[in-house]
Amino acid sequence: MDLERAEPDASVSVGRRNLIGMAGMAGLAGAAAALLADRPVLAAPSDDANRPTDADRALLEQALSLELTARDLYRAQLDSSPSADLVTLVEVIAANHGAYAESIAGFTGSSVKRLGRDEAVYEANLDAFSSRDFAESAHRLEQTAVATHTSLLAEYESNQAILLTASIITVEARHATVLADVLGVDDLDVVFGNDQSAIELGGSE
Amino acid sequence: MNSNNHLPATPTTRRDAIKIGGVTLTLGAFLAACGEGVGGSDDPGRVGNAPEIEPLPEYSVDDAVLLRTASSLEYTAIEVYETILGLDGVVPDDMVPFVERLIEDHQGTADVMVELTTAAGGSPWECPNEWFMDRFVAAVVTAIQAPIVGVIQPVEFAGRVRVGGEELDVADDGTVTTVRGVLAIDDDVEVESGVIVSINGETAEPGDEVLFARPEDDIRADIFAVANALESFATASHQELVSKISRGNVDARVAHAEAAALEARHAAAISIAVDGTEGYVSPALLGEDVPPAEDGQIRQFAINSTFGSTAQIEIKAGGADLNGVRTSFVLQTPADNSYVYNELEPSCSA
Repeated sequence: MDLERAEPDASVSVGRRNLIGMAGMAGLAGAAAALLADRPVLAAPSDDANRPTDADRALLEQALSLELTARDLYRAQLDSSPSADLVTLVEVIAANHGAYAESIAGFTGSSVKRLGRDEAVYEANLDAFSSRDFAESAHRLEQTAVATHTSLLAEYESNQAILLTASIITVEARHATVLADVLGVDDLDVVFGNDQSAIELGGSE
Repeated sequence: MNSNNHLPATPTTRRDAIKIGGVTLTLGAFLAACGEGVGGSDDPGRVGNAPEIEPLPEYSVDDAVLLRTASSLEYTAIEVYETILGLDGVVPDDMVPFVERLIEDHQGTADVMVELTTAAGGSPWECPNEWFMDRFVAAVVTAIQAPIVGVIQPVEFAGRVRVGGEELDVADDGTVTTVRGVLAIDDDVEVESGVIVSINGETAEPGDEVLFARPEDDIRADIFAVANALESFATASHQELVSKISRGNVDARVAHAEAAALEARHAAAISIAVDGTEGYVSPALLGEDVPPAEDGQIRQFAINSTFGSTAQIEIKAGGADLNGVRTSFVLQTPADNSYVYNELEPSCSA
């Protein structure tokens, strides 16, 4: 981390806007809220403590949608010809999110194609990800993903869901740190902290 | 297949019958001697006067043990960074706030683990982990600060010293120039026309060892490698603990995940501090080889892998030996030998 880099442009702020807030709380949060209304019916713990339960699958499908959204946003950046020094970074992060989606789909038995990304969140962030100044939105996306997975971690009932989520959280945190460097941030509270909130999925009653 | 040297499968002659019968009798005698009901100890035979092996105590592993282990790792990191800050000139001035922040973060995580230990019914552990301190930290710190050993070459190579896998001429000022830079002899040497004639007052002979001071830059590079490895190790440890902690202990589960994320950020930031944008992404993620750095160090990147790894972490520390080989040190996530069991008492004053 270059601690001597100049302060970022005043117009660039690693801000506190909620990712979903930009979509007017529709999309991911709205769908999740509707799903949660039925959650007690879905909660049918499996006999095998390692495999995702029905309740886990419901939450994992939301996580899957988040990962697909992230993947597609980074792909939009690739389609917009990012600067040469960032192409590899964007390719790798996009691929990572794709891998997370595939893994989650594998555990839930869901189809990546059937579930797809969250269109509202995607559309809300597409312009930013299609520009050269995508790093701020990308940093916020990664931070939101870390916060969301951490929140979901508290809800999971199965070992597989917990193990997979933990292994995703640590790398998405690394993504965020790299993007903070791309932004030229040297405030260690920002580099090491996370002021983004989880996408609201509700908690245990 | 039968041959004259093998017992027949089925005796066809009296001779064969006796042959088989004799073997059977012999085997029977053997089995009788060694079979059940013979009596005596079933323990493996012992030769010599070695002391009796005392069985290790069996300690159970519960959430308190896992949380005590977690806090011990945090205190280990704190100890390492405080030691590093105490080494004169090793940490550049502009990196001191960064290291101090690492200490602050580890203390914060330690405090959380201590609190959770109490909540789990355990006795808080506010000391470094003795296993890792003894087997990793002490060894690495020693290696990093140790001088590099060179050897005066045979008479026919008069004036040359073998060091770090190279045979080099000695300058009259007692330095040698390696592929990576100049090394200065740490001993008190007398050099005449490029030949070491005495070492610490003793006449120098071929085969004599000569000590070279490790350049500050090399020490600093090792320190960063250790710090990076330590953070990645802490990340991996907490990541594992997320699933090891009991299913109902949600607070601890989340705390471990948050600690893993924080320490992953630390590791990523250190990689970037060392290598800049070259430290962003491991070539392995692109299907490419990851050659070691110029100094033989195993390279660490901000984004090392697609999923968080809990595999062992290896680094090089210290100077190269006479063959140019640097010593490897390995960190593995906590297991039986490094757990801080409930029965163990802290050895530090918290």
